Amino acid sequence: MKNRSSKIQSRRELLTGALRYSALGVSGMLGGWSFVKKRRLKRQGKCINAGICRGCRVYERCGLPAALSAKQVLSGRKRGGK
Amino acid sequence: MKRLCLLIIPVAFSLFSCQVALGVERFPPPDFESGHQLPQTTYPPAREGVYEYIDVAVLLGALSLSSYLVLRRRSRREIFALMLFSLLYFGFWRKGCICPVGAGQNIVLSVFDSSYAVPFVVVLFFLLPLVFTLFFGRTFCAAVCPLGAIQDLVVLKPTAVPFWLESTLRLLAYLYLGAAVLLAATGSAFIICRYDPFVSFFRVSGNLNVLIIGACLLVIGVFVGRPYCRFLCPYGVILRQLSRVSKWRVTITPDECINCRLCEDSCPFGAIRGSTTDWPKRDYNKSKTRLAVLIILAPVLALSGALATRTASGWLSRAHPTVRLADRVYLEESGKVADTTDASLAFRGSGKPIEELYTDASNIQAKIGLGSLIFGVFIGLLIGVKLIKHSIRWHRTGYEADRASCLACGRCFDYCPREQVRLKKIKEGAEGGE
Repeated sequence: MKNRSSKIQSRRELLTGALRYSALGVSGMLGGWSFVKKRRLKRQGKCINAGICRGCRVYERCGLPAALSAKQVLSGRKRGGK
Repeated sequence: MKRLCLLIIPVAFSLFSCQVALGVERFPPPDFESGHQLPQTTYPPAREGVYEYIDVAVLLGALSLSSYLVLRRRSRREIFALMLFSLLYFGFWRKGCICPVGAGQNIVLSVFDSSYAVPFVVVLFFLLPLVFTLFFGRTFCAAVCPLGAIQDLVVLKPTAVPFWLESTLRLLAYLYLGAAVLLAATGSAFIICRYDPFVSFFRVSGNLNVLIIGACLLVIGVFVGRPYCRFLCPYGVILRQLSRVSKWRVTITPDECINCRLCEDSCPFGAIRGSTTDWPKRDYNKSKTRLAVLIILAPVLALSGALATRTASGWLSRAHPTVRLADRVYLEESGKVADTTDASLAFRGSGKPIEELYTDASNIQAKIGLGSLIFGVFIGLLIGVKLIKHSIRWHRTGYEADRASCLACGRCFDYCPREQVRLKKIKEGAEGGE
């Protein structure tokens, strides 16, 4: 009986381990891919976006959703008199 | 008295913040015809790259320390101290930006938009807590996330939420995550950032509605522990799933559970699961039938979800500025509205043909329609899986923290008599008798 439960336990550990390291692998691949993509776009002269509006150098002429959201918030604030 | 003060301070702060926002909106907009010069909006200068990497280093340090405090030191007091530091640094000092919760949207946009590259700092902010969760459980939620920290401070009179209600409310987080992914992937909006309920507190300014939502969540948080983390946080959804397969995890007892039940009510987040008893044969058979029915029902739920979100896709697509502009221009062209907006005027000024705008908008709508379909199937299947999960009896021999729900706050440690023995506060053997 004990042998059976320990078998189940080790099978479960194997499965969770496989899932854990798969997730880790996916995370690593995502990070690596982002890095390579950024470098590629930079080399092509296309990468102009700093990603975060706060402190972004190209915010004024940026049409990405984050920038549009920020502009909407700021224009609302401006209308409010601030 | 001390608890009362702790309750009054956040509520007063919330009301004060709302008052600022109300005060701002009371004033009429300046009259542009009178020659009033609108002051140029200024933006803070770009943050030096090195500071961004300092933020990453602080995040890494905080995650490492949090994991050490939760799993090795098992000290609620030290976890609380780190939580305060994170609230001050990532919340009030860094103004809640950049945060791993919103960073996911940048990653999604980067995957779907070939011309957009996400900064490496954002990638690190998104991935580091995930990697730590894979090994140590949700130690990010415990003491590093500023959104969790601000809510943790107001947990004063926590009440237990019934399991069925908790499970149902948790679906909201999946819906929020799905909508955020869909809108980020189609380049429509970053809704997690726009509707972040606590960033307005960190910045002491912001949209009034969001401020009110944040204040309400804090007031609810007095009675229901961390409502945003448990029922809304889209990043929490990912952390929950990864935490299920974490290598190490929080344990209530440092060694072996003696089933004393002292920890039973210690968790304000309802994350402690008790030991199970064997099922009566009749219940077991009934449950098997229910499981079979639910497995058959799962595809029906998926289909229903797809139909529901397909219907909502028109509304979702209006989140995209191009679709909104096309709608507006159409209304103006068909004479249904007489006035114009800044956006429609700017569009007409650009000289771009209206047909091209309509084509762009319909392409975006088609993309959002397809995304909504996938989103609906996902939600339907999720409901099916949740129902199936509730039909399965899990076997537990002692009291343990639920792998997915446990926020690793460390409140339960002190309730365990075995922990008291470990800390040499009581003697070995006393835990069973007294």
